[in-house]
Amino acid sequence: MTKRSNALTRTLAVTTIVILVSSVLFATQGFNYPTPRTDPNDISFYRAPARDRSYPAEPARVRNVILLIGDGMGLSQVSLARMKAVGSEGKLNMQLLPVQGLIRTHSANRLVTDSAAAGTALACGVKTNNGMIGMTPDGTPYCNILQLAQARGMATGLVATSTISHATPASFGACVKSRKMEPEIAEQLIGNRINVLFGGGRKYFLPKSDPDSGRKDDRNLLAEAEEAGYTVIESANQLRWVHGPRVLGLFQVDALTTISPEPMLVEMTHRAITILDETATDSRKYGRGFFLMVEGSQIDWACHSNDAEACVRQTLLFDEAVRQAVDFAMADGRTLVVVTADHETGGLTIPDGNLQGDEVKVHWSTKGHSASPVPVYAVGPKSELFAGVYDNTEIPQKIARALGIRQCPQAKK
Amino acid sequence: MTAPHVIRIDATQSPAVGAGDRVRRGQNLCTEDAGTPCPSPISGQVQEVRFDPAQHEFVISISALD
Repeated sequence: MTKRSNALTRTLAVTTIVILVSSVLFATQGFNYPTPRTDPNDISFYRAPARDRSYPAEPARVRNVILLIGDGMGLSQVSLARMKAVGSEGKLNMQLLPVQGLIRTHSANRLVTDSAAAGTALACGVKTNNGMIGMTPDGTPYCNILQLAQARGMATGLVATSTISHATPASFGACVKSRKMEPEIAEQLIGNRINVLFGGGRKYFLPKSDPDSGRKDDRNLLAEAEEAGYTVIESANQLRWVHGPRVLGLFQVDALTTISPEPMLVEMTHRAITILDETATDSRKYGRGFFLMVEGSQIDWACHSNDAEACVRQTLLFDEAVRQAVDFAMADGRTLVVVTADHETGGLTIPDGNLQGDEVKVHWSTKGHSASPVPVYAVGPKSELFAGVYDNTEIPQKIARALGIRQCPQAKK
Repeated sequence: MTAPHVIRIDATQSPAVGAGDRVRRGQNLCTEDAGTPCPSPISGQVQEVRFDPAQHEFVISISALD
């Protein structure tokens, strides 16, 4: 009996080990990313894309939309990153996309926009004053494209390397008079039941009694989120294991640092896509696909500091996320991917350099934003809608048309 | 020695001064084409100009001249 019992115990132990090892191997599939380095200017993580990539003819119907926004990413930021990463003859992943366009970016009250007004244009399809989010200058609130997709029965998500309540992600999940109202924006992000929220800014979800809090009240939005069905996580390891339908991942108290041990933007993008696709497949409520917005928030910050190396690194981190989105879209065949920017930052030009890209001179004309038009790249069904030169307010209108949503822009009732 | 005055300007616009510059009271600290003027509250010397990404603002520190 003892011998039989020992044998059974051994068998159980071996089986458990096999299951655990298999689970770890399975869970880490698709996470073969180079480890984020601690050097803020290191770009060795970047995998140069093939020179050319062919894209299959797409069917007419769009199920999913992934919109990627490089904050402050003008044409020169893309060119500089390209020259540094793959040389003057190479292309970044976003530049390989078959449909390309340009958008103008002015706001309702300034030739030079900020991220709040530009985010509102890209999300709601209307112009507003600098600083305002989700409403026109007279205070009329508008539905954003994420909400329109949600109303259509789609799962939704926001990913950013800033605080998740910063101006650009806020434009897709909140409606406030000032971008500085981050505590209120955090409340609205949770209240609007966006399925996936990945980024920084835990401070705006913590009650004022917490030493890390950025709130002036006692609301604990992390607890409120859990009550609303969110799984709340704060580490890269938790990100690898978590499943939907609702996940709130806040990986820093403030903005992300974009270095180890945080998850990289590409990893957050990969997990957001996986969770949203699972949710859209498994849930009747969200069964009509997903809408995901991903922001490379810190290209803008590098350019405000006129820091060319940091600008290159942040643009390449963003381009890795583009690769992830495009790889999913190519495998799925029903996903529209649109890559653009909210505005250009720094007035960057490249007056001289060599063809190898190792000696590139840069010139910054401002430490603020500029009125230069910004690029649009697209692939997938209905991507042809995004070719040409047009206004930033037309981006959500074109996405709505691709999804069969009749009215955009749409004032809130 | 008194603490420097700290002025914050929205980073959509560019500061027109740098560390070491002398400024007069009322002088616009932003570039001319930026839209919203940002006058210096004191005459003095700019100690530091730094970007605050969380607030999306430039922080300008000015010490009063003796």
